[in-house]
Amino acid sequence: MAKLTSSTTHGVLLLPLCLLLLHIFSPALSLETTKLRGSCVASERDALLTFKEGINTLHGSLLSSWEGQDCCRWRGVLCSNKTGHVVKLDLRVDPDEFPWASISSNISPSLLTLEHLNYLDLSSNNFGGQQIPKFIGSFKNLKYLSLSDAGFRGSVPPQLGNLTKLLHLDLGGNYYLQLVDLVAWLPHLSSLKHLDMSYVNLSAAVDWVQALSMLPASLRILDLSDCNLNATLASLPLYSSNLTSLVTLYLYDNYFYGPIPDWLLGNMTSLEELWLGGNDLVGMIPETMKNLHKLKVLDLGWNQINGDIAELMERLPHKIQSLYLGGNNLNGSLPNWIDNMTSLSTLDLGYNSLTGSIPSGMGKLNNLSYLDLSYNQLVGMILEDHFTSLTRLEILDLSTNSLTMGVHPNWIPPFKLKKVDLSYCKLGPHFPAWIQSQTNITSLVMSSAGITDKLPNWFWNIISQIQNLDLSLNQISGVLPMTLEFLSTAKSIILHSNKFEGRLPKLPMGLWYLDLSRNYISGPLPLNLGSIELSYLLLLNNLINGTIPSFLCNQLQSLEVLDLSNNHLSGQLPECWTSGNSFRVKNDWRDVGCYLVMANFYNNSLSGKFPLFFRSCQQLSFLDLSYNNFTENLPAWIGTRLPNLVFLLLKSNMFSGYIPIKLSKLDQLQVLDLSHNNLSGTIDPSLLKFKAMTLTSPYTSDLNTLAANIVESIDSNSDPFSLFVITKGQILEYQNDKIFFLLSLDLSGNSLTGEIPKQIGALAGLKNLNLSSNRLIGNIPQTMNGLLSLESLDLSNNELFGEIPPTLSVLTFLSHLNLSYNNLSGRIPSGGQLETFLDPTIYIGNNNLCGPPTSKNCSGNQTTMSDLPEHEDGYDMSSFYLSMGLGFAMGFWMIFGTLLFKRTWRTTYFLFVDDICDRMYVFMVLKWARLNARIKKK
Amino acid sequence: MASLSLLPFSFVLFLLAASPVISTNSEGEALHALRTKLSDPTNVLQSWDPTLVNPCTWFHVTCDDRNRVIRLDLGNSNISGPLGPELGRLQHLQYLELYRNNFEGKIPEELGNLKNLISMDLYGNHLQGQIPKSFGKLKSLRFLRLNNNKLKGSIPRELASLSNLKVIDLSNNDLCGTIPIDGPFSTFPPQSFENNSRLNGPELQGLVPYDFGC
Repeated sequence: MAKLTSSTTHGVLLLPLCLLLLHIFSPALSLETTKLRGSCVASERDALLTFKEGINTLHGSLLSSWEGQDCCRWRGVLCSNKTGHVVKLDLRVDPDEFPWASISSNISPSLLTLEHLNYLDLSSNNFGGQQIPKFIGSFKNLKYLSLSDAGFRGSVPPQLGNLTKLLHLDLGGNYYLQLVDLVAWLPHLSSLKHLDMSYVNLSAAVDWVQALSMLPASLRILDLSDCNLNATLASLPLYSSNLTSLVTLYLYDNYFYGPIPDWLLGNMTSLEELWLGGNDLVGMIPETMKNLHKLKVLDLGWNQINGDIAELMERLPHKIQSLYLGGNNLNGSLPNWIDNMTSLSTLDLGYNSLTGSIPSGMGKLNNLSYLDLSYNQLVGMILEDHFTSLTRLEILDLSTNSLTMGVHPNWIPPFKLKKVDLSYCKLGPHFPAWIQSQTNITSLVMSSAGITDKLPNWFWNIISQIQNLDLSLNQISGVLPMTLEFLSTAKSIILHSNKFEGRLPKLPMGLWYLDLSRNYISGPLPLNLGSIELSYLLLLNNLINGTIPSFLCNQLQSLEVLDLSNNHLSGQLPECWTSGNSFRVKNDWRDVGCYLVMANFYNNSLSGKFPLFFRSCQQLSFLDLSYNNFTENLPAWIGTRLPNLVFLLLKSNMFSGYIPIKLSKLDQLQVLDLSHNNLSGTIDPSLLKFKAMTLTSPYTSDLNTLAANIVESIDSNSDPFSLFVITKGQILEYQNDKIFFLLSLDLSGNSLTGEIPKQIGALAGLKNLNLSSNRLIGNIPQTMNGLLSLESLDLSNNELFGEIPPTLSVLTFLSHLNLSYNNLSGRIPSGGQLETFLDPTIYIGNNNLCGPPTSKNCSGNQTTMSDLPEHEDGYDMSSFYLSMGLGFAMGFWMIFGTLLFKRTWRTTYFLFVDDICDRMYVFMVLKWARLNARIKKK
Repeated sequence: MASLSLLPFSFVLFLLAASPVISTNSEGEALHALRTKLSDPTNVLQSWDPTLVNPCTWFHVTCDDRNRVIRLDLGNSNISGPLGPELGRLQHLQYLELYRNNFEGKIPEELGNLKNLISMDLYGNHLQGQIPKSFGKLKSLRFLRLNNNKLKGSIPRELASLSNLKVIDLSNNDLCGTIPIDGPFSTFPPQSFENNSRLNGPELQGLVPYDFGC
């Protein structure tokens, strides 16, 4: 069985069936008993050894035990107790035992010697993209064949059709199998009871509908999940076929669309499990669903099933046990008669649009073990009644509704939960006392639950089995224990945005995600973190002080995201490998383990040189050292050793010297902020070659996938990842994946000299350019019109001279401009976007600039005019009056002349306005005279 | 030193953090509603994520220091579709720069609600229908460019009451009637009205109805 899916339930449910089948095929045999039986047939032993030769056992394999004469004692080999012939070969690899599954160069046809073989299982081996060998079709006695998850590729040999005795065929999980001509072999398997082709791409098998319709009536289990099938459900030959024995039908994760036709399931009255999740089915389930009396499992999750939940539940057969309806568009309220559905053990209605309150009858579903009502619009109180008989409840998810937990503080729940998510339910202000009884809990999520209490003392004791803890976004107070090592199973602890105090505890060995951001964690960091697998360490916005201990160096082997921003850390970063020799022992830098992708030290008081250990952090995509006291030169190796850098923020330090030209090698760099340092020298023309900044839509390109992946990997319940950028004269905060929209170059507040290189125009994707407060001279380059994406341009406080290039007006997205305090001169160009900058202060401090919006008039020739004549607003008064007069004459004679010469119009007109005609005439003459007088006066 | 320079910075940060709690994101919703009806082949609206607390980090949107939208700069962006009435909800908008796109349909009356609007550049689109009379409410308006569209009807006399109006360009449309001569219209050059074949010169107050010939 190829169940690689998240729905482990599938596997669990199939298990009893498989055991049953095994029982049928290998009567009264087991590996233990084989050992007691007689020796094997020599020819068969030789065949097995030949087969073994083709298998790579280098990384361990159960074939390693194939030694000695009696092949019937070998692992996975079973001989008949009557004949001594090998009848069963179970070479399934247990990935826990052999994580590096053996790779076979070829499957030796010598196996054919095993004529009496009726059971062959090669699943979970890795056959490295070979074809399924044709000779498998020659095992005439084969009843059981499993080739699942074995890396087979290419077409399926039609010889499989010769296996007419086959009861069980599993080809699942071979993603690269090409199933084209199914009819050629599948219908010949006339005894099949179990067919599994899950995760095999059937989109090229045009005859799959026909092949399905020819399946034998004996079939009990059919698994076509995730087969890329794209059809209406109505086109499935289920109704017409004779699949009357079908018990389990897996069709989830395909592209089935349209409604579920009411005749569909026809005479499949033996159906017990129907898995249709993850398709595009719409509408309500048909009423005939009720006729499937034996149906126990119905999975319609993540489709577009819509309509009223009560109506849907009325159409379900009474014995339904597992109902997966999450991720649909169901609305309405849960019916009060839900207490009748006492067979229910699984109820998944998350991610719908359910309204109203949860009926208290829910508490009578004494078989319920899994309840998911998350992401609906449910309201009201959750009381003891809702859980009265739920003694078997293990998984409870009521998150993201508007529910309030109103149970008595002394309530002792009847259940022992393993996983609970009550995020965004109102549980507070007190910490829920009933949690104390939940000593089996492995996942506890109570984010944004309105808890403003002190964390009770018992809390850490009851979560001894915890894997996943999230109490974020409450106001829980209390001092964290010195160590959390006793949470030995913990993988993820998220406590951000609370009021926890104390020092950073020593962490559980296996912890890989820790978010304690926005608390009151103080004191220095521990000398030893404790966890060797920590990938995410998020401690931003705390009160941590002292230096960063050298544990960081060891931790770099596992850390991917490190955020220590907004703390009080001081001193130098540890030197890591530089003190010992290990840094340079190996030529391969990757051997020095640093897997950091994000490192954020923003706003501390760290000092020293640019930390040398980053040199081995090839993956580093995001580095923020802003607002610290780092000094000395920027090392040139940033440009070569950190090729994945997308964001480099070094603002407000005391870095000095030149900007290394090698930074231009950072092809993925989108944001470079070197502002407010002591950098000097010129902006070298060859510096401005950042490839990502030349692209107008880098986000859609394949660049920076590493960084994008890591941002996505940050837990959605974690504190949002932020980047602060000064643009448009404001500090803007870009969060999470939004940072990838930003392209910014900020070199302001240094002592840079020389001209702005004309090459700057190549950075067409740049949205923010700030070169202000330097000592730049020369003209503003004409090439600036190449900065097509620019929204904010600040060149203020330099020594730029000459005219403002009119080409700036083509920058249609420019919405913030500051050219103040330079030596610019001439007329401020008009037209385009420049005309929308009406604030004269953006030009202030340039004594020789003139024209609007400044109050200074331009004298002499006005050469610098817009290239967009449609906005010219210079004009000539006399020509206006001349044309006005002409216009009037035209208009007058058009009306008067028409009335004079066109008889019918005249008649009509005069019929309508006869009585006002005289007055109009007087008016006309007066106007005429007045206008004439005005023109003459001119 | 760094910590000193941080004081004003952290204050701004505080404001940034605190303000979303107070303000609702109605402006973001309005802009998002506009976006949903537009076709944006060059993805200039890609960053418009309605789940953010405000639209201030969206590109082509500019806010003031109180996180209110004051500019919308989408000139020359290959956008097509209708101008939604939602734009009228951007109460603080000062610059509406939508020139040289493929906007079509009517100019919504609701744009008259933009009391703070200083510049409205809708030129170079395919806008149809009339110039809304509600534009008479745009008391702050200084630049109004509707040229190069397919606008019909007469020039609303309400525009003559826009005392701040410095520049108007209605050329290259299909306007009719006469040109107002009151208020700011006494200073506008004829080029502002050219290429409207049915526009019959300055109005003759009291003599001929202003929409004569429409």
